[in-house]
Amino acid sequence: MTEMLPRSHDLDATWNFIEPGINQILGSETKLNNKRVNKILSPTMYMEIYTAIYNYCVNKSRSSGQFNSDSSNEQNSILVGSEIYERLKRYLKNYISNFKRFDNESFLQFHVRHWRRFTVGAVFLNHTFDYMNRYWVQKERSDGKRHIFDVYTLCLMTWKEVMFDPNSDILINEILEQITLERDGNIINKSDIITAIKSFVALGIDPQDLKKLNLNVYIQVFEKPFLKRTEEYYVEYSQNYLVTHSVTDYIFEAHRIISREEKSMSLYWDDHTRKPLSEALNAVLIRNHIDKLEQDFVTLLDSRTNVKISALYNLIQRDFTLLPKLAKAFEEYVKITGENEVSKLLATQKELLMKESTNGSNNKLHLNISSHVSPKDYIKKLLEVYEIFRLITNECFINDPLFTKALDNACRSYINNNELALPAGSPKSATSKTSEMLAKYSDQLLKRLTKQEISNNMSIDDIMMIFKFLTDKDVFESHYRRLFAKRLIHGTSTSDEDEEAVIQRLQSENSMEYTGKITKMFQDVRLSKVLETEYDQMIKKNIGLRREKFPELQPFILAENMWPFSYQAVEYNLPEELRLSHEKLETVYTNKHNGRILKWLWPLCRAELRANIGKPGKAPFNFTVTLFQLSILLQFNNKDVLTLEEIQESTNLSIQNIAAAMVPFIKFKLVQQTPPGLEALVKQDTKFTIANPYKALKTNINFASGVKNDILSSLNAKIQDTNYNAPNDIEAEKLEKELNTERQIFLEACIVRIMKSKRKLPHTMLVNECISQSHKRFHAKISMIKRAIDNVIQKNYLQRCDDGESYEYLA
Amino acid sequence: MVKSMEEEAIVHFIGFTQCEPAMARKYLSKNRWNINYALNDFYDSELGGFTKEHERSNRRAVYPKELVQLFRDYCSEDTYIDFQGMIKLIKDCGLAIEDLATICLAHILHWENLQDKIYRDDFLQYLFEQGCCTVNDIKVVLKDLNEKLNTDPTYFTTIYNFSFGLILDDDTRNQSIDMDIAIEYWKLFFLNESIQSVEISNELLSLWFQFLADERKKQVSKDIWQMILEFFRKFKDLESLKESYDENDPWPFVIDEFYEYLQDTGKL
Repeated sequence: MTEMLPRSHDLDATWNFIEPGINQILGSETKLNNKRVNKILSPTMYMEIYTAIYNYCVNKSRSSGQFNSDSSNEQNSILVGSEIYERLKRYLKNYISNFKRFDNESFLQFHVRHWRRFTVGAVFLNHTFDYMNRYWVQKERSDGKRHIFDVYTLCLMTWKEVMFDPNSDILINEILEQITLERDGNIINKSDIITAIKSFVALGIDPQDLKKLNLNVYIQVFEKPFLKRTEEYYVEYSQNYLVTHSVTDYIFEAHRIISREEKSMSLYWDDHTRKPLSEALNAVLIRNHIDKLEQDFVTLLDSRTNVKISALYNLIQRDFTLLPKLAKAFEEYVKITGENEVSKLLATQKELLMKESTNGSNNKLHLNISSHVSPKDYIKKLLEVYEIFRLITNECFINDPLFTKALDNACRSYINNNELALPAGSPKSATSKTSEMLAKYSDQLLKRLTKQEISNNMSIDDIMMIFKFLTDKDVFESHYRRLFAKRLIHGTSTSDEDEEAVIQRLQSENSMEYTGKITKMFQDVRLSKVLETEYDQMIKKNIGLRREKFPELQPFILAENMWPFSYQAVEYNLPEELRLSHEKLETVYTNKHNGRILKWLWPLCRAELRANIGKPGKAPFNFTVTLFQLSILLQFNNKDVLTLEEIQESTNLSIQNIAAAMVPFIKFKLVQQTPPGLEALVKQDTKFTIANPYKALKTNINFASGVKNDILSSLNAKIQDTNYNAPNDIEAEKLEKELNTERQIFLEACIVRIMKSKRKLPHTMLVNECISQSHKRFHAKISMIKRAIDNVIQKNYLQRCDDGESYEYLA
Repeated sequence: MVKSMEEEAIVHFIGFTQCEPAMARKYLSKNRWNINYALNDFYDSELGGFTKEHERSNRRAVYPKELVQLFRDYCSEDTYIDFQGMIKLIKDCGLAIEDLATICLAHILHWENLQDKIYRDDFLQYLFEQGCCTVNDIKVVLKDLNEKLNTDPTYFTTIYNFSFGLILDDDTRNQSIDMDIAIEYWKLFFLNESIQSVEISNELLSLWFQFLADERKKQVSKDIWQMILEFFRKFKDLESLKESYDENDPWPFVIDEFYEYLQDTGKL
């Protein structure tokens, strides 16, 4: 059944024997005139071909050794194969060049059709020539003949040479056209393209090392033109698209394109193309239009539509080099929005005031509008802006560190610097008003007397949030302490727990040192309560002391430097009624703490007074008065009419203090002044008459809150209302001065501390170190640090080194 | 027994030091009669850095008569020369107190403040080092130094920096000098035609004076005094100031203020 195998040494016979089989394996279109052609490729046939080739190679090798016995040993080991290899090579060239293209077939289809069949055949062919591959080919290649390949590679190389290289341009063009068609939305035969592109990868053969597949062919022939075409396509596409669509639409379109290119198109290309393709798309779709995109960014932020902002961010974050600019734009936007919101708040307030003033015909417009904005409105507004953008940062920018930082910077900027905090035209050295507003906000939160509708939805978290962004934390501390002191002294805190909670938070956010004074104040009040009980018990136990002689007393013993009250000696005689209490208390205290000196802050003392001067049968009145007022009223126990001179004599108070104390009495008609008028108020012979009986609707009356210490200064200025703000300004100025001194001292201490440990330090490092050490309290300006350095040099702690750029510590 | 050991130690001690027996006893007893320690202690504390004393004892012998006479001509109470004496000496050298050469002379004599007294030994030593015995010798030296001041920038800086201490009021030593005095001296140093060792822009200098007057600056500290020279050296005109002045550089604060002033007044 099988034919006779050809004689092993006969090349022609062997070739003729195997050629039909090869045809069969590769799949020939031309029917050869051979009886075996119709056979399918059977194992038998496969074996026959294999054997024929084997025989040929083996026999020749052996016989050549026999026939040339006189030749060198080397020839003995010669492996045979070159003739048949050359035959095969010639055959393959011929075979491939004879491919016929159908009439209605594109080159792509033609190429792919043959490639598919050819590669399958090539694998079989490789096997049939296995013996030759293993011995002859390997030997040749190891001898350095790199143009000899195993049969499979030979097939591919021949294909490349005959079929591919001459026609690659046509092929690529067709492929790219197909891809363009697909991009335009047509349906194409993807599998042909996939196969064709895979073939480029397969053809990337390195003649030196066959095992190493390289992508030279793929990159040269396909990838480069493909990228170029892609770029061209999308340059045009995006430009056209933007003409007819909005930028926002474009953002989504770009996303669609990118995901299509990177996902669906990935079927086609080799993984190598992923990166260059992404980059090309980024360049064409994003970088080329970055200006428009950035402009649109603001519009999108305005619209506050997170989906769109998020889409834009996702698009731009593909090229991380573009992000910093976007983050910067975000920062700028948040900053301006914050500033605008505050300005709007001011504008609304202004309008309100205008309305009021036209109604009341009282022109107060020269007043600072910002002082009419409630701390709550202001703080809430700042928080509102922060909250909006925090959400956007979270949801749209996925908390990208660049954007979180931008948000922080922007907030620090608008929170500390806006129309209200630093009105236009403020001096350079002015401190931001935000700290003060925040302190007032805290006060409203913690004060018992704050109306429900104001204290509603205020919270410690709000305070902490803004506090984090304050640059002048020391200013806040100073305002906070001032208000805190009032709450403690007047007992108006909502509760000790609330106060403590805030202090706790401030301390953990900043430092023990920061809340040191506040904590000490708190302690003072507690210790004072202890003292109060001790004093009370002492009086109760001591039967000799009668209660009438010792009215209830609530002492406050405050550490002088911790509290924001400055002691000023005041001319004043304590009324007889209180003298005993005063002495007793001092005894109790000095017994307890020997050597401590008590100074009395008379102007801050308050008293509760029961006045039985109503109509007969009516309940007595309860007056809340200052200590000075108390002294004055007590005089009326003896006499109904007093002159100013008499009052002054008995109380030893200055005219200003008496006048200030008197004004609320006159206002509430408790005392009648003759002659009336502010000017007469300070004259020695002016008479004051107590109203007896006194008529008032309420039984509890607070005269203390009506005391204005500046009553006389306004009198001197002869202007009553317009000068209203002046004392506040003086106060503020004083505060600022104190603050600056404190900062200066802090910085000087800082410098000495730093230099003591470093001994010698360049200027810039010292400055930076100072900034970082002070940033938890305030923002240290270079000029302040320099001034501090100058001072420290002047004080001989420091000396400039000869290089002029660094300093040395002097012990 | 003990007594004699102590006495022996004292004899030895005096053998080394030629000092009084009481002194020897003091040092020996302080050092528990260990003669080595006592000697170290003695040389350390009594003779100071040893070498200096050495010099001092040396030079006493060799001062020429003319130099000693020179000292006698100007001294008070035979021990020191005070301000009045110096004025006289300066005058005899053909100088006025406000001449820069006077500052050179003060520098030679380590006369660090106008109110200081110059003691005999110092006076003789410092002048002897300069090779001076007579007023004429001093004149010659000062002529050379004046020339050096005109041409040598380092020497100029030395004399300039030295002058601050000299003109400081004694009771505010190391503090600061009054502005009008400072300005006079700046004029002496910076508006001197013959000085080539430092080039200072007249424009900047007059602006600086203007600034001091406008801002009512009253005092000049040593640091400012020294740094302003560096400042003028570095910035030759408004243009260079505009280009490269940096407030982050370690200039004293007042120079920053000056820069700001120039900006605010539109000079920059």
